[in-house]
Amino acid sequence: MAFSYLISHVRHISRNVCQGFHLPNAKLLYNFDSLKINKILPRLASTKAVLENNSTHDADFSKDDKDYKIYKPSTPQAWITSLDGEPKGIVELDRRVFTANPRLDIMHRYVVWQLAKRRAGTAKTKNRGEVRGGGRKPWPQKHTGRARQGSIRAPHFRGGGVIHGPRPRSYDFTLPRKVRSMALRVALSVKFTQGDLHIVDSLCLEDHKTQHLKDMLDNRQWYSVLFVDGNTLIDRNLRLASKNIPNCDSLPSMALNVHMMLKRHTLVLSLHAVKLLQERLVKDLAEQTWDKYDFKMSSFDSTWESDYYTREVEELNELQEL
Amino acid sequence: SACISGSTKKMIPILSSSVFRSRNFLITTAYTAWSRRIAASTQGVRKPQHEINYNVYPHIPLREIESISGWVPPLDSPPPLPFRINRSKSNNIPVYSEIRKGRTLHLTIIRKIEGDLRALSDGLRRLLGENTQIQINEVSGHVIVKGRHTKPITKWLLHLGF
Repeated sequence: MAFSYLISHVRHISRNVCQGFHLPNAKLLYNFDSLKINKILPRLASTKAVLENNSTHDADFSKDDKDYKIYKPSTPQAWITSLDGEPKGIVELDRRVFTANPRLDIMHRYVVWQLAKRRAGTAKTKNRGEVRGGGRKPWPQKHTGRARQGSIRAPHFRGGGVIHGPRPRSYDFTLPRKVRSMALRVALSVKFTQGDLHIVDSLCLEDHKTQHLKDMLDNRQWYSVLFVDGNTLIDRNLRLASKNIPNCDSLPSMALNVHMMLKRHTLVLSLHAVKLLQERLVKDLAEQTWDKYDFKMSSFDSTWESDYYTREVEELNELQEL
Repeated sequence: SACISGSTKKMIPILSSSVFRSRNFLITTAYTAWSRRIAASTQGVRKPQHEINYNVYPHIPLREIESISGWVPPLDSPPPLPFRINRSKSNNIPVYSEIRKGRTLHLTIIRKIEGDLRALSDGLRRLLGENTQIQINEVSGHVIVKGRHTKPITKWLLHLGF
């Protein structure tokens, strides 16, 4: 049952899943004047780029070798935009986190664990000892012509106790740490390859007015959103503004979970969250020997790059004050 | 106790008390020989060590494994192949043996593969013989080979430079 719900939310996983919708050519970065970026979402932009450059979504198999092609993994890239949709730059992502194999079974395990551990487990029935009455033998053992009975609240009696009924219990179990991190990696990859992942430079809102945020979401046609920001703290304005909007949630990156990611259609990460998630979700994996990953981003205007770093420092100061 | 063949058994005078014991002995020896013959024919015959040719890809020079333990670190750049095999967390080749079905089914599993799995399976066929049974799991990036081939496969991958 849970698995079919998963599949209905995970659409279009093709064979070329691991390569995803990212810009295949670095030259494209400087040809953006010709494209109407404000109206085109990253997914459409990348497909348009594909058509222009006649390149495919497959991994870059070079044809230099006579007999054998060479496997060259391409680093996935994503647009960085402002919340309004203005493109601000491009970031290179860790391919182990954002182009992992689509392991739906691992995501299923995570969701089952999540939903089980939050169960109240308060169901309870009375057994024959707890039902009121039934202490006396209803009729003598012999010579009544009836079957021998010991108590009126035995399970085969009407109004009797329940055999092995539910008792208050905990449905919690510990899912292995590595399975949990893998499930998050798979979920992020699924969102990225389906084009439902958007990276925003910062999720700091100017004011906490719900209507402003709702208008912005309607403009971008995000009717079901999950905002992920920071480590343990979200921007106060974002939290207040998104509280009352239906189908809109905001989470710190430590609280990211697969159930919420599948429930909400679009996933919006701040740059800070991307950096933290990539560091955290890669700890369980072995060290890379080739094509090591470096957090690289290129911004079209250099001013806001400094803002991104100052925000990190502000958050650290906030934590120290607490 | 010496293994007595059927012809010599007839020549020895058989006492009535030992008939039962000798009959059992005859039956057990015949049974084990028969089962051994069946097992030998059905089991996948492994290529003996001296017959394995590690030079599956002639355009890649095989590097020597100079260490005594048999472990060498991976090369600085990966070999020019359509697949890539990453090291495990303990920096070893991720080839594992698995035994199932009451110790009768031996498998070799190769994990942590990126790239073209079919090319890897073709390479394995050239290494281990054309009739080896290989199964591919694209979603998890596993290749499963029937039979216990961990040592030849790890050696081959180390020679390649993974």
